[in-house]
Amino acid sequence: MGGPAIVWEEMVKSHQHYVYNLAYYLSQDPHEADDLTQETFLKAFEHLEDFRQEAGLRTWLCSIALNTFKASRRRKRIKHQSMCLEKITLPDSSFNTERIVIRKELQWCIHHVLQYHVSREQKIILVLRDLNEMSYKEIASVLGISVSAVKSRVNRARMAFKNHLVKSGCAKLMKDFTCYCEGVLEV
Amino acid sequence: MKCTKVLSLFSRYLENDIDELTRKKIDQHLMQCVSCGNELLMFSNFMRIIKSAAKIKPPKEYGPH
Ligand SMILES: [Zn+2]
Repeated sequence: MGGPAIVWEEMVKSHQHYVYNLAYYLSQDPHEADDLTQETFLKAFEHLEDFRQEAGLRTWLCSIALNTFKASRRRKRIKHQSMCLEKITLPDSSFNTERIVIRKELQWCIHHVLQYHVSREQKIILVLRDLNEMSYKEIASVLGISVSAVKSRVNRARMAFKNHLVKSGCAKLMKDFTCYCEGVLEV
Repeated sequence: MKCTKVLSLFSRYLENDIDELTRKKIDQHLMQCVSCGNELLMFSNFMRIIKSAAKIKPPKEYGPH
């Protein structure tokens, strides 16, 4: 008694923000992100004996989250609608360590672009690298591709994110907080 | 070095994950190419911005319930 429960608690405490961020941007929905995070930890708990120390816990957890999401959402298409800033509640990001003051509108744009205007592959890459701050080696192991492939994908994803925010997104969004760039994404 | 090559190496350049010779070539290019210089500035800004603005705090504590 006690052993596995303690392992579980420690694991959840130190890793839930990685898993939740990935789940949130994958699912594009806070409730689904909630379920996906919970399911990921349950699966991890059930299969603790499969965990190999050398793989790293967050690599393992992110793989479980990714696979769970993919299995549940194969080929589902989501159409996103234009939304007003007033209707959007930004998730709590007070948790950020870096002290950069970002205007609320800009923050909204960043969430919006990351949610809807980069491909799923690019979104996963950006979350793993820039939000979860995982190493290239860890990401390579989650995605099952080479480190050099991860590096070039990270660069392309950052470029795509930046380009969208600069060219079509933010300038327009700033005026009346409406997104003019409706799109259908494969998720 | 061509612009496209320079752009493709921005992340590695900013993360110091690049050999000296390549870094020199990029620096040389940046001194002559205003367009790539601007791109690099925006690119590094957005790298910082995405890190600090997009992270989300989980709404609750997860546990085995
Ligand atoms: Zn250039």
